[in-house]
Amino acid sequence: MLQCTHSSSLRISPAMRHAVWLLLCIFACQVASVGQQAAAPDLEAQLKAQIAALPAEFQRELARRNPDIALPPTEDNRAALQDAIKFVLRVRNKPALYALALNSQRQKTADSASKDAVNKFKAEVDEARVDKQVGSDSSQSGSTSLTTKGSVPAILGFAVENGALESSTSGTSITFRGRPVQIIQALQKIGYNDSYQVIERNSSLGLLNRFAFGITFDTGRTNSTTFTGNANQISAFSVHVDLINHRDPRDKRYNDRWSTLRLGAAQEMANRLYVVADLLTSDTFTPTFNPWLEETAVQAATAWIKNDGSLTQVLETQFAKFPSPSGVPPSDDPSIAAFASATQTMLNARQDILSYVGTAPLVTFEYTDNKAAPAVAPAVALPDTSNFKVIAEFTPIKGGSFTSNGSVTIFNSQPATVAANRVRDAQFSSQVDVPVATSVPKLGNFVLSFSGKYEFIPDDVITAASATGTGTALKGNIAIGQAKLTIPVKGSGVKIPLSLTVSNRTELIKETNVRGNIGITFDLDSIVSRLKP
Amino acid sequence: MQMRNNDELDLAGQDGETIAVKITSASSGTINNFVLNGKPWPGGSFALDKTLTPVFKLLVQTIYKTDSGNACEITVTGSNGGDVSVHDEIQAPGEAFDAAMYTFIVT
Repeated sequence: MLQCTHSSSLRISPAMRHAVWLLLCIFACQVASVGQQAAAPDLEAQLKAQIAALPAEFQRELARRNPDIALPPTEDNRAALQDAIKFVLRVRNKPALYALALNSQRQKTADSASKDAVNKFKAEVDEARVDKQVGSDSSQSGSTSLTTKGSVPAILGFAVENGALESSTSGTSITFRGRPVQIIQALQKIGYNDSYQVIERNSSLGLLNRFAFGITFDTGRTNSTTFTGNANQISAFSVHVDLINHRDPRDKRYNDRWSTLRLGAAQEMANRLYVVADLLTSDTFTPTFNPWLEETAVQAATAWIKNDGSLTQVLETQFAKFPSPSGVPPSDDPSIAAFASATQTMLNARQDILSYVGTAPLVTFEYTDNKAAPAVAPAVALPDTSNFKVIAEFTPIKGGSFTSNGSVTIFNSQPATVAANRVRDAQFSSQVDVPVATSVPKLGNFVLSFSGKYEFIPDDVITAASATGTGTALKGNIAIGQAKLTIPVKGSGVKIPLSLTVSNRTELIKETNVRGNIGITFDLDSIVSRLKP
Repeated sequence: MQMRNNDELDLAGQDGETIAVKITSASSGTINNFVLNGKPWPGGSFALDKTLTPVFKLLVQTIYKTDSGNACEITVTGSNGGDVSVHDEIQAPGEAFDAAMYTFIVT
């Protein structure tokens, strides 16, 4: 069970404040390297991806030939396994994989420094995305987000954040966000990859997939600060609709760009690949290829039967000694170098299109029903509130984003005291996110964010002043500025936001306020795409 | 057209037979390129001609627009009937491209 620790106050001392600003400035100095976030995948990454996919292909082929063999296979199944492996690895079926393997051998003898330079900036693209709103919005206790982002995770994400932004209370909130269509598909055991194809084929599902939901739990609303999922801890429910979202590379509006790629860089790559594939499928290569194939089938079948997770490693070892079809070492084979050059050109052109798609504007609408905490006598019960928000996002700089929110919050019922107006407040905020390239082990690119928010409260209104108590939000204008650093843990889907917020006043107190917030967000998409492709 | 060794990529056809190549099923996330006997080929159909070469070779390359979730099915048929070759390209996570090499022995 997930446990969260509640912190009653996160006010920051002046010395600490200066230290955090200094930290943020140091990272800001590295912003010049932002463009490298969108680096194209290199050929070595493509080789690894294709080798990593082989065990699943072996399994499919084995099931096609011998549907009665139960997995994991045993020594009795060795002959069938080796036949399936050899069929998948026939040269006609894998010319691109073999060309990549030969290029890898060529590169190993070339200057390794240039390869290291490419690997250094290899992007963990999804983890570095700056357009996903995983946590709660700024009205929730404990939020680290002043401005709400336009995207939500495809499947499910949750966030635990501690601190507070607008409210004068600190608390711990846990937010779950997700798209129902893809959650149902995940429960139906439809693979992450297949889910997009199912949605693409069904326009009704495509329409439904524009909707996402969010539920926020405030663990401070019960006696224990432990997250229980109890209805008493629900502090908000939200519905999110994509109004304009053209950030799918398969959108018809990008057909011309893909057509240009197909006729240019992709055709040139195919021409170069053909030269290598022609050698691979020549009769003269067969006597060299067959012993390698036999040895690979034996080794791979052994690893498969062992079922100890070593199959991919065994395949990588075998591909590292794949024989050259031209009779000369790959480093001396001009056809391999030509293939590598054309392929990298194609990958760069493809990445240019994907980067362009990533800059498409995004407009969404979000409705949030904020549930007031149960009142404890003698406190007065607060009415629930409804927040209507429009979120617009575009990309003025490569890899970054600019987001604006405009929202109005109303009381769901007339407050019993103080308030004379059903409109609680109107807000406008903007945020710029800039990825910062880092070379910190096990961490991806950091994201540095600066945001500003203006809030207008037309009348004095009753509001929450503690987890279960009330106070008066004073009429007037509130200006808030925030600097935030988001630290991703590479390969985990986990991000740690750390923010410093300054405001001219809070809703309850008319004096300058400085707060620090720290949180943790978790995006299930990153995990599911690995575990259940 | 016949399949050899139960391999949909290892084919044989009669001299003069017309071979048709179609992408019969694909998500909108794929694009295909063809190279026939070393030259760019726009797709469609071609005739086997023993005077040109005893073995025709056709490379079909698939580029994936996104990092996962795409697939395409390639169907090859001969005008004289016989076997129908169906080959699937299924994208692995992170895979940007794939390819298959068809060989046609002209009999």
